[in-house]
Amino acid sequence: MRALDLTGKVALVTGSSRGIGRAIAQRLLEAGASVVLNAHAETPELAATQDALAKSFPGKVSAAAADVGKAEDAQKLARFVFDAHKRLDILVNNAGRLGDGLIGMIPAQTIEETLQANLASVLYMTQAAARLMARGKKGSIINLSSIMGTRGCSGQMVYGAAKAGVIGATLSAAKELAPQGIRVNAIAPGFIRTAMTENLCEDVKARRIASIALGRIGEPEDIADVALFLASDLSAYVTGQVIGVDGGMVL
Amino acid sequence: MLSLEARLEKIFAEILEIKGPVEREKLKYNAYPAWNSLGHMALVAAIETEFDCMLETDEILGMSSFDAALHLANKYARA
Repeated sequence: MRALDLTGKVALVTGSSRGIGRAIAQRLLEAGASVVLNAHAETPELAATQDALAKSFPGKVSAAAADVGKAEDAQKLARFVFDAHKRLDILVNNAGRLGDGLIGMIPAQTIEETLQANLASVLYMTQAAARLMARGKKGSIINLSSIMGTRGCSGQMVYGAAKAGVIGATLSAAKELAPQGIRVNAIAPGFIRTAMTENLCEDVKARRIASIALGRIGEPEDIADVALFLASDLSAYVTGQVIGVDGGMVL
Repeated sequence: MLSLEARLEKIFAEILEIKGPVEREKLKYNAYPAWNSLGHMALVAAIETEFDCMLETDEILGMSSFDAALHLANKYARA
């Protein structure tokens, strides 16, 4: 299908050394895009992912370490993309981290780091990416929010706030960047099989799955499929939307 | 081939829709009618494209006049 073809496009996926980010990167590569991978540091995981994807998609994969929750690093990452490709068509703001804890027992450092990793990163990267995309008068920014940001959950005040902030950023950026042909949307995943969820004990997992209408945990590829839709021209008339990819989960 | 100043004047004329000669001394951010925040980002995008560069955030925030833009154009045209 031609509208799904991303040949010639350049995508940047933050936090893509594993899990959802890696699945999205792979899906975009399968659609023909060149993809810049990213992790917060030069980790063995990032190198391994780059090697693995480069074998399947030679010449299409590069990687840059940058802690995108820091303004300077975000700028450096955008410059890396500019130097390598001179353009950016798709930005997936996926980098993030959990920061759970009950109210009254959350250290200030956790609050700051969680907001920085999940929310500030989106703001910094959107600023940098919008300038690159504005040159081509077209682009797609996809922000990873969470069902925690749309519905809330006990023990997730900080993470939920950060992910709700991502939705606020998405709505405002969509309006501001539309005249430049840049679409901005968010995905709100539910309970997805990642390193974060694999560490939960079995009874918690079972309770979570029981709250999902479709009766199964989501896979990173479920998120990647929606990201591909939002990255492609199939969603050419879609902006400022938050798409829940949660199997009908109820919190 | 246009001089660097002429290239920059052309950008300002196109983005800010200036009819007639470009009066450089009047081109100030938030003072010249079309040079609002949207116009500013359009100018930045056009300058970056013309001079094949990527401005730093503090350079974008500091580009408040034609002369300031010319300073940046000189910097990146030489790079």
